[in-house]
Order: sequence, then structure tokens, then C-alpha cells
Amino acid sequence: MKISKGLTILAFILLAIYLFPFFMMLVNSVQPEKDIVASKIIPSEILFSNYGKILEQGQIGRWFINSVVVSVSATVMVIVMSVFAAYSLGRMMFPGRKLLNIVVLTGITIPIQAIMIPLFLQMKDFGFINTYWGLILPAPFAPMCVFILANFFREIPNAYDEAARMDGASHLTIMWRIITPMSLPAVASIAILNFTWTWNYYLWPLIIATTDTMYTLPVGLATLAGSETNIRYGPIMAANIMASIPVIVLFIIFQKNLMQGVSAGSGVK
Amino acid sequence: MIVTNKKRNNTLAYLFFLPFGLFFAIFKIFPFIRSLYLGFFKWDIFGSPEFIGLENFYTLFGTDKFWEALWHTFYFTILTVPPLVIIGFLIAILLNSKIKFVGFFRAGFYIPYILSITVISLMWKLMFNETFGIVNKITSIFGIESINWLNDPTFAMPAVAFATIWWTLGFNIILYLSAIQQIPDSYYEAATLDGANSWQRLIHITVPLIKSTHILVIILQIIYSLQIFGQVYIMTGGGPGGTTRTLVQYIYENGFKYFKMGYAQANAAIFFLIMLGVAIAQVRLMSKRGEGY
Repeated sequence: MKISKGLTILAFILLAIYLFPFFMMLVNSVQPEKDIVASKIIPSEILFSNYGKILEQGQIGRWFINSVVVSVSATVMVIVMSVFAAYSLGRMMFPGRKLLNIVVLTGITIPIQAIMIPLFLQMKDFGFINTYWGLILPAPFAPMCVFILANFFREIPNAYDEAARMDGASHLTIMWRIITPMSLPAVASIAILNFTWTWNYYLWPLIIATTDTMYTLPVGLATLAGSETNIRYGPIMAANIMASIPVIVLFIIFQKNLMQGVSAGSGVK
Repeated sequence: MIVTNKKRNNTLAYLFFLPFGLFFAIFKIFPFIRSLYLGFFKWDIFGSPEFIGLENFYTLFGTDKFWEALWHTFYFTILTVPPLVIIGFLIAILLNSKIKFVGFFRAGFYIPYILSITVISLMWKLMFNETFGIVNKITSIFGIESINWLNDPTFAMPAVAFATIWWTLGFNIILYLSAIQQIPDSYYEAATLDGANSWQRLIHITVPLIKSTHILVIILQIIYSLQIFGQVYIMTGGGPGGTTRTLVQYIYENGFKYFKMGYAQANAAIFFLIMLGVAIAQVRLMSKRGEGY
């Protein structure tokens, strides 16, 4: 196909407009407050004191650690569960497989909002309110990850494990030595998706974390910004940037996996 | 020998499924079962539950706040779904046309979507600020008077909707783009030979061939929009005067601010029925049509 310069330029212009708010957030985070109040787009000076200010305010360091702990452990847990479950659903024949497939799909369909009240009560019975357990264990995105991975496993030709089984390999060996290594891009994409979703998750942490020491970044930042402690916009935008850095870095490295995962999870391949 | 092998195989399959299955049962199925009857109880979290039949539902249907929250939720959905679907489709078409750096553009348009709901809400809260927000600065170029976007009953919800469209557009672009890229080039080549121009190719090939993607995107978008909570809660707190309070926020407030668990669950049941309706529509629409190539 012939490349059209005009359309490429059009796409550039649209993208520039589209990302302008993002750019503004970056600028605001290194601007003195007087520039923000004057709604200046080009900063009169660039300074990083906003970052220092927000680190002094509140417990952003603690929230950052909480977010890391929660997102990393939830993601590790979900990957292990998903590989096993996806292998059984995608590569083994057994009675009830269809039913379990439907169960997984139903799990994706039931929205957390419809069950958050009983889930909270249950966590209260377990004594998990305001704990890492309460933040990590519900793993709300696990069904989606199983779904994506099982679909991927299913498409690997049978010849691979048949040959291995001839040589006497067990299912466990086939799973870890053949199927999973072959599916690394898919495993990576569910890992990234689950991490990003957990990192950004707002509703459940808002419910289950009841004191500010257990907040994750999204909950903490929202509370901080909404509080009456007279925090300026500059430091808030600096906090926004800090909270976004991990997902942006992951996105830059793994964007291909992430987008494949998104399309696969929605049923468009 | 074969039988035992098979049996062992089955056991192994169940064992593999077990870790996930256990989590799933505890944190999804049990709460779900409990959600089915909790709405018939009066239960502030500290006392013991008391069965009151349909009373929660009577109260709910007699409460203006509930109907308002329901309407705000639908209003938000109406404001967001059409632009998200149409603009998402158009940008996907643009990215699929004869342009350079497709990967770069695809990633660029996706960036806002990886930000958290808190981050985008706080950044748009600043942009919509009446006195020094950038939005009023831009509209003032066109001679429009300053608007207090998030504190004006007329503009608050559209402003939240606008921020949301900006936030999630990239998701739809990706879905459309990957569907469009699957259409074989030969279709377009054949049409071009027959003298079809690019507009005709778009209308007669691209649009109909990805019909199931249209349905998927629209339904997913409706599902996501109906779940609206965080943006509103952070940007307006449901205000001004409750004019942006949505269904999920109403559930949240009754459950976790006023601890009326039964009442909140009755509300959540209504929410679930709406979502179920959408899901059923999805299954019926999607099963009717396959991708036609």
C-alpha cells in the first residue's frame, strides 16, 4: 500500500491533541503553583519541589509500597492459578470441562459491584478487613486471565504434547516444559494486564482498606486530594505522575503483549 | 489400564483447576449466593440480620434518590457510549489506512487507558477548574464565558463523561483495529478493481464485515459505563446536590457509609438485573452473527 503523508500528518495532529491533557499533567507537576493558577502551558521555571512536597505530605511512600505488595503478590498468585486452570481447561479432556468453562465465563460477567456487599461481609468474617489478605485474595481479575490463557493454550497444536507423551512425559512436565514456554507472550500479557488492573484498582481497596496505612495509591491519592489539608495542584499532579510511572514503564516495555491480551480478553483476536 | 489412566487423568485435571476453583468459589460464588438473599434482610453491620421480605425494595422504589441515581447512570451511559464507539471506530480506520508508524500511534492513543481512575479524575478536576483550568482557557478563545464545570448541575455529568471518553477511547481503538486488520486485503483489492472508492470500501466492506465487533464494543461499553463510580466519586463526589450520584455510588454509600447492608444489597440486586439484561442481549446478539469471512 502507498503511504499517505496527509493521513500520517492528520494522525499526528489528532494524537497531539489527544495527549495534550497528559502533557498538561506532566507540565503541572514541574510548574510553580503560580503558573498553574495563571493556567500557563509553558512553565516559567521547571522545578521538582512539587515532588518533594507530596512526599512529605501524607503517606504516599507507604501507599506506594502497599500498591507494590498488593499488585505483585496478586499477579504472581493469578499467574500460577491461571496456568494450572488454563492447562486443564485448554488441554485436557475430562467430564465437566464445558461446565467449568461456563463457570469461568460467568465469573467474568458477575460485576464486583453486584457482590461487593456480601464479599465485604465475608472478609469481615475472615478477619481480613484492612489487611493485605483482604486486598490481595479476592483476585477479581483472575477469571479474565484464565479465560485469555485457556484460549491461547487451546490453539497450540496437539502434536507437541502427543510427542512428549509418547516419551512418557507427564502432564506436569508438558505444562511447564512445553505449553507454558510456548505461551510466554500470553503469560506475559495476563501478567501485565493483571498487574495494571490491580495497580489501578479503586473500588475494592476503597472498601476494604479502612485506615490510611492500608490504602493503595489510587485510594490514598483520591483521599489526599479530597482532604481539606490545603494541598496544591502541583504536588497532586506530581503524585499522579509518580503513581503512573510503574504502569507506564511496563506499558512501554510490554505494549505488544498488553494489547494482544486486551483484544484476546474481549473476544476479538 | 486405560480406565485407570483415564481416571488418573481426570483427577489430575480437577486438581489443576482446583487452586483457581477454590478462590473462585470463596470470593465469587459464595458472595454471589449470599447476594441473592441479603436484600431481603434488614442488617446494619453490627446487629444480627432480620428478615423483612420485600421491604428494602419497597423503600428503594419509594426513594427519589434511587431513581435519580438510576437516571444519572443511564444518562452517563447515553453520553459516553455513542462517542466512544464512533470515535473509536473512526480513529481505528485512520490508523488502518495508508499511514506510517501505526504501532506508535496505536500505543499513543492507548496511553490514557493505562492510567488509574484516580489519576485521570484528579487531572481532569484541575482541567475543569473554573478559575485556572485549561478547559475554560480554551473555551474562552471562542468567547464562551467561564463555566464552573464540575459544580454546575447541567455541566457536571457531561464533564465527567468527557473525561471518561478521553480515558477509555484507546481500548475501543485497539478492539476495532485488531478486528479490521483481520479483514483479508484481497477483499479490498477486489473492490478496488471493481472501481470502489475508499468511502465505498469502508461502508460496504469494513463496516459490515466487523459487525460482531460493533456489537461487542457497544455491549462492553454499555457494561463499563453502567458501572460508573470512581470518576464521579472523585471528581464531583456525586454533586452538586446529588446531580451526578450514580447507582454504584448509591450502593457504596448505603453499604459502607451508612452500613445499611440489606438495603444496599437490594439496590445492588437491581444493578445486577440490569447488567444481566445486557449480558443476555450480548449472548443473543453475538450468537446470531458470525464474522462473515
